[in-house]
Amino acid sequence: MMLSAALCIVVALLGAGDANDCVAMSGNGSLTIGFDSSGALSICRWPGTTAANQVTYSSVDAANRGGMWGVPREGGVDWLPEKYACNAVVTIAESGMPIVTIAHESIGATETAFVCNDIDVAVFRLEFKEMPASNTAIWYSDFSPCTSVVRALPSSEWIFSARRDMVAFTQDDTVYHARPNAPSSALWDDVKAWLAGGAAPYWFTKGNGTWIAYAADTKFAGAACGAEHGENSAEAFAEASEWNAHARALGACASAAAIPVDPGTRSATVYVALGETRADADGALSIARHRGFQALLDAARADWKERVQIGALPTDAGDGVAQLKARAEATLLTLADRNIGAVARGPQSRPATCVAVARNVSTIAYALDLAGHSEAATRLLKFYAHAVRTSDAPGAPAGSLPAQLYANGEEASPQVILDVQAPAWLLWSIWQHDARLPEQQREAYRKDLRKSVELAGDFLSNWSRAIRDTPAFSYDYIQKRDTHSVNTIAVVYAGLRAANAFMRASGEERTDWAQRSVELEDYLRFNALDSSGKFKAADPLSLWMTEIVGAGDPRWNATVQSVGGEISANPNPESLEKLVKLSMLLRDQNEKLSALKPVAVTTAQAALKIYPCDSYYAALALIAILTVYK
Amino acid sequence: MKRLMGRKRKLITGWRLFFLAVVAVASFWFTENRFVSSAAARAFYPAGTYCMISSWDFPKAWAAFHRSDVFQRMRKDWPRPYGDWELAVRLDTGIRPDPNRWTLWMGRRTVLAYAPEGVGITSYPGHLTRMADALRSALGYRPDDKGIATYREFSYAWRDGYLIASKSRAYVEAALADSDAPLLHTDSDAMFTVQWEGEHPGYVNFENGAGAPVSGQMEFSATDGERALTLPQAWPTAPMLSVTAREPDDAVALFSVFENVIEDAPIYPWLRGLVGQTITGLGVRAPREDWAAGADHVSIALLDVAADQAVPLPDMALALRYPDAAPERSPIGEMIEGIETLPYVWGSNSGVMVPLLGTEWSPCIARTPHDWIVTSREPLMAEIAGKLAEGPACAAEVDVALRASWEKLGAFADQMVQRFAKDEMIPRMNVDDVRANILPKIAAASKLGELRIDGTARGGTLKFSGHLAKSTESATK
Repeated sequence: MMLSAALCIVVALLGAGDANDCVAMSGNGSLTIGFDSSGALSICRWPGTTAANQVTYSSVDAANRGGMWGVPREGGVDWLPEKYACNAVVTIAESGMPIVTIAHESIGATETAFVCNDIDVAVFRLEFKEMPASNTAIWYSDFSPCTSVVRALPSSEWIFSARRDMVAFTQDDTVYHARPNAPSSALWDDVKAWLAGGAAPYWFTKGNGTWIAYAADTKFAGAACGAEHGENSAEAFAEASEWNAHARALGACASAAAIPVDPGTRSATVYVALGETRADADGALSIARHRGFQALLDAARADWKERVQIGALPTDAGDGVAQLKARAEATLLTLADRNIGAVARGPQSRPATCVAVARNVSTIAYALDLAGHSEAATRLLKFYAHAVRTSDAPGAPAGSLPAQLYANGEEASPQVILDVQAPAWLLWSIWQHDARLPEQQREAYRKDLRKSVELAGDFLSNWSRAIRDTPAFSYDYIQKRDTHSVNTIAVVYAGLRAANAFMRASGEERTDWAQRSVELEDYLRFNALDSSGKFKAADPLSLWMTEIVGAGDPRWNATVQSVGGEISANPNPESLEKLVKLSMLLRDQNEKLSALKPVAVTTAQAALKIYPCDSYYAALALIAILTVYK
Repeated sequence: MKRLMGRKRKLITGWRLFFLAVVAVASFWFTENRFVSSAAARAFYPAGTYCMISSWDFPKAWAAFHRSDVFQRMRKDWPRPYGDWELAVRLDTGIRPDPNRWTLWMGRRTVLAYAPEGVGITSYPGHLTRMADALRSALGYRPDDKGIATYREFSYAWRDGYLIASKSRAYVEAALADSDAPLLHTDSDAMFTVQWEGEHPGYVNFENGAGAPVSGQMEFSATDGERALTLPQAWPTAPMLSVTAREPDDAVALFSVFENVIEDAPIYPWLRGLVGQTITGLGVRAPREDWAAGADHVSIALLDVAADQAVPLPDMALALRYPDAAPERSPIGEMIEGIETLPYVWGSNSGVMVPLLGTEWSPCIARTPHDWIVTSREPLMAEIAGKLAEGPACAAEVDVALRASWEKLGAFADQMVQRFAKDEMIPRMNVDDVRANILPKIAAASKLGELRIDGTARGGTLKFSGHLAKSTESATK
């Protein structure tokens, strides 16, 4: 169930990146925005939480800063993330709502950013305590529309610049960045001709792609489109106040707009809409501008308040715990793809956490169930179940799961990574969730998932058939290669037992699986227990799900005490994993669970502080809180 | 008087006029030919020039290429390999180039040079071009005070009777001024000579003949030896690419020579970093210093690539061949120290498998009577262990051997290019563009048969010869 190594496979592929690439985010399951620690817009994923990043951002290349506000001064612009980075405080709302606030105390300005709940529009507002001298704010953005993801290579749009961008232009007080699907050389030539004064390309009105349109709550004082870098860049035009002279750009391009600050609210607001066609983007933009900033913000708050109040805590939990629970829950739901149900690990590009990690299915599904989001849990499980491989391929046998997936079902990791724990945890989760479903939904649920359970169960059974004589290998995230371990066997045992229970409930007995389960149990007892039945395994807690030693058995006491001490001494993400294992072991022992209350909050807080935009740690936090405070 | 005039008109009309015209043209052609052939192959280019392509008789070489077996194999898929160049010349000069027109206007001696200032050409043109230039000067299009004139996008100048032309004025200026330019190596027997500077300067002559014969040399220190190499032709199936050398360091050094060509490709640094990080991440260590001691020669082969997988995985193998029995101690044991291995046997050949990443990337190591073999996955070892042939041997003086299968390279390139296009990784091209413009070229290249180059170490120089496109029917001969 637990992922000891924090980062996913693609760290090795893309490099460690920058942990501050995204410290706060907001999203509606289709559009996700994120900000780095300096307050620059680093993430703009659309459509879906595992989709391409529609903004070019680099923490090392100063010219690629994604999106940001600036304040004009004599001879240039003070870009807030650049000039005031060390003073920026990037947070989400105290209530846990994914509304991002960036405070620039040194200049008396505050940014607010959020994604609307029902339309794919992100709203960015810069508010001043006092009117700026220039009465204008500058919005700069390096939007880079990208229309697809690449199999087994997340964040490919960051590596291959040919995959993103095409044209930026201003028209009717709106700035557009656009790229059609699979553009040919002819389409590029059409845009070139249009830049030189020819007719607008036909794909501006026909065909799909990615359109990003932004406008302000008032008419632009000026706008400019230019290159990403160099003297013809949008940034250079903004710094030189060369507005309205550069209305179109081709290739890797960025844009900037000068927006008059409203004297009444002392603020400037930009609405950014995304759509598959220009009409879609224009339509969403129009709705947002019509409703206005405050109405959209109130609607987002109300929607989130409703969503995270499902499965409320007991009253004695206190506000602090309630807020922590809301925050963890909101993080989890923000990263849940609205259309499919897959949950991305995070929004970051480097390392690429913008993928659904199969092994995490049990953690996230269980958290969703505990929080009362049963439907979301069902959708998540169905997403993974339908991703179970149905035929053999080299290195990817039928019944196995890709280690990582995009929400569209495509593999997001190399096929050589065979994580046997992933289908095992899926089976365990499917059966756990079955128990929580209302009776009237179970039949349809079992019917829908039966085929996947059979495939995965057969895979696990075959994989472990020679377990007595030959080590069985599975990918290890810590060693970053295949290893064999007692822990993996424990997970496979739990998964196979769950699969057998599922099939029995569906009216079929799999005696081969039952036989294999017996063999696996023998193996576990031989390797985990000594001749007197006491634990000899280095980490007995990792066997909590096997039930080879009953949860109430006194043999657990030493482990419970020692792990409890470790957690108290060191509240950190690793401790949160241990805490959740412990709480799962003790979940029917309320007295012992109560003893974990003091550490539950501190440990969860510590983990979320280090990983503020991580669905795995959010799910762990949620499980810890909801199990302990029940 | 009128009758006298009429008789005179008859004298100079009809077949006499035609005959006179033919004689005049033939004389002109003969004279021009002698004129343009009288010059040596010289060139003027900037001091920083890093590549020169020269020909003593460019039109003849051009025509010979058209008649060659290589072109005949390619023409079905790629009927006009230099169609783009022809069009560019026509647009730039107004003249559609062909061998005869080239002789007429530009002569025979031709050198194309690549320098930091740009690309330029040196030739010894015939009188037609010289007269045309004189006429332009008379009409006011004179060269400037540096002796450089312009024609359309080109800058050009004359030096010692040779024409220097380039779209880059800086190139022409530097070519006129520099006397420290690299010495041109050119061979009157070769169709073309490609010469390069840099860390390993050298040249290759492209000769006329079946299978695109080449010869040349470059500054490169390779280990000399006496025993004949047998691994180049030993693989059970022809590799996509293989390098055989006396020492592994020579093979690696040879790769780094080619790396200079590809290192500027945008994907390369990322790919290299990925490979490095993966190796480090897997816990694989460096081999011991004398890991290949006792081996007579080593061969590294890329046998195939599974390009249809999510991540293309290479089927790779390394073989160390020993003059006597292969030593018992594994040459790469230190590399996998601390990593769990599983004992394996392939026929009568024992070894280990190193589980790393599934069945498709778990290296295997095996010892056979005369070889130690490493493969990237177990099924590959099953194909190779005990099945590496003892020969046929290369000539005794061969110290380095390069082999490539254009068919396999072409198949791989075909799949990858289409995949890159589908994933929008090729700038400004989609799948349709690639199918129309690139795949035919790859299809043409895949019919080129086999590349076979053998090198001989002589001091700090590697002399090489072979064929770029040996037909596979004759390859076994």
